[in-house]
Amino acid sequence: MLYLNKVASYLPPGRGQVMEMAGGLHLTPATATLYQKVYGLDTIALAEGETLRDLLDQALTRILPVEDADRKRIKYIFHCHAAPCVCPAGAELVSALQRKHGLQHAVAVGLAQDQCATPLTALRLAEVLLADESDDAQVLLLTGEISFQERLRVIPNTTIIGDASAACLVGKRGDHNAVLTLAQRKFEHAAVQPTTPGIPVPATSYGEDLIHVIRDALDAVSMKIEDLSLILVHNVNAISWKFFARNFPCSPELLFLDNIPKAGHCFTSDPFINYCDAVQTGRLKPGDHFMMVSVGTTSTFAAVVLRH
Amino acid sequence: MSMQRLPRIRIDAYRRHSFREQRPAPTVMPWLDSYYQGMLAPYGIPTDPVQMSMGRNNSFLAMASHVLQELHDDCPLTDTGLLLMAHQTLDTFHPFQSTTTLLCRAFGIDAPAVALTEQERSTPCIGLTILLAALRQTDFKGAGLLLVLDQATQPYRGDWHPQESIDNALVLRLRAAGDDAGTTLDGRRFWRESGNADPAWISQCIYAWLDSARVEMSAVDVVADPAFAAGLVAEMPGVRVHESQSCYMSSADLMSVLDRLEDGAKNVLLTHLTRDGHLYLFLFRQGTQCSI
Repeated sequence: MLYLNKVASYLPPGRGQVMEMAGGLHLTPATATLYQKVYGLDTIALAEGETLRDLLDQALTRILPVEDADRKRIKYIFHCHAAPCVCPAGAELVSALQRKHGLQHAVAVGLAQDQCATPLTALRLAEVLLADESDDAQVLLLTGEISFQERLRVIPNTTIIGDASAACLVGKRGDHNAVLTLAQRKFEHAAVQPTTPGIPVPATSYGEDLIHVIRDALDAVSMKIEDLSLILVHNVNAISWKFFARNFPCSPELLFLDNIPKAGHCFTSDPFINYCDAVQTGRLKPGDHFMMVSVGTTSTFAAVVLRH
Repeated sequence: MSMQRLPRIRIDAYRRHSFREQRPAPTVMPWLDSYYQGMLAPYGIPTDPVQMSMGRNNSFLAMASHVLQELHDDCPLTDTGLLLMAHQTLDTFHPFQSTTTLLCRAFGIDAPAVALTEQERSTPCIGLTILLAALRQTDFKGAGLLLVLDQATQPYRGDWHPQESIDNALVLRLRAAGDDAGTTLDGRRFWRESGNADPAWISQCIYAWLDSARVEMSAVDVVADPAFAAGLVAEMPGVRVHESQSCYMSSADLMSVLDRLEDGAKNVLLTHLTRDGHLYLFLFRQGTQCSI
């Protein structure tokens, strides 16, 4: 069994209001209003003057143990990102941070192609590699991306992307955040956006597939959705989750939607940002069962059931 | 990874193809240049349209589909338990495409499928490490696929020359096995803080590991990066050392290994050293019945 031993997140201090960003993103005022009023996006986290390396550095600084011996327990570093590539071949990105933080002993690699669901599906690889390591070995999941171009900032009819980073230490031993199961599926149409542009109803296939993977996860641990205390969503928009609550069905109170209006959809970092805030605001208590859910556009759905 | 550990991992099959022909460049999306400007700017690298015009323009999807279809013709891929796609370069004209998702749909693969990136030519070694660990787990079902892809069409001037690099695709299908038949594979990683390519240290690691596996060095063909191949020859007199060909980018090491196996070598040792001092050793051994 895996445990999320420690989680940290970083939202850069820059913020943009959706209505003020509309012009630069080529959104009409009507469309911007739709994003704000219907999709529930209001303020977007922006890395102003910070690079991706800076963001990842902040996440590492927040999570890494002080003692060198504890850092040596980190055997692998997975840099999980939504875009297939976030830097040119040969760039000093994670390797430079490894040297800065004394992590050269760890094997680092970028993971991608499950898009925003990548850090959740990475748990399966972490489990595989940790099986060959000592009991106190850990895998560091590192997430973070910057929308350096308009095409990355807006997913049409769906969401606006925020800049953020996060990190999560995963181990075979722990006293909280036991990973009970991971369900993942590649469905035919993993896109939230409505079939008819301008109509703010999530695509039917997306809604059905989301329900499907969440049911897969619950069935795997013989639980009902009522057994969960919280679902840490991906912050793509509010309306798709409200549809989910209506159609599953489940109480809307189960969904942690707090960060959708505060930061936007921060690619692969959403589950960990939401986890940190849920703990800080007392929404998760020891022993609570909760779920992390993420969907990679045109790619993968993933749901993880954990015990806090 | 341990040399004596069961089950053994066998290379069920492999396919590879080098795409030497230059294909017409696809229609370039109007946003592509500004996208790469944004990606490259933090590293002080300018975009270079001339580089784009010199590549062979084979997309990851086209190359992967080619080798997977060849594999699929001989053995269905529906029993795949894990697909890892390793690459060094960008899929330049399709920066947002989830190639693994499209491949899973095309070949009926219902299994985790992710890409490994950002570690240059080391990426396939990390993929092999993960697959060996996965296949040794008793609850792992089916085969493991390692797909290695690279294309020379890049939007900037890198360490390679587009006209001297070859778009390449290679796939290995691995499976747990109960005997030594066919070609088996095992691996080990060493690390030391100094990342220098010190042939003396590399040869010590090789001797130590092969000795524990009771493999005679004289019976081994070694594949090494040109950066330290000559040093290994000096450190290990009498040992056959073959330089991998960098034109194949991240496929280079495995391409050389497969060349050696096809030439009839019984034991081929892949050596790979990363910039941060991780030394990967993978031993490919031909058993009594060669099946690949």
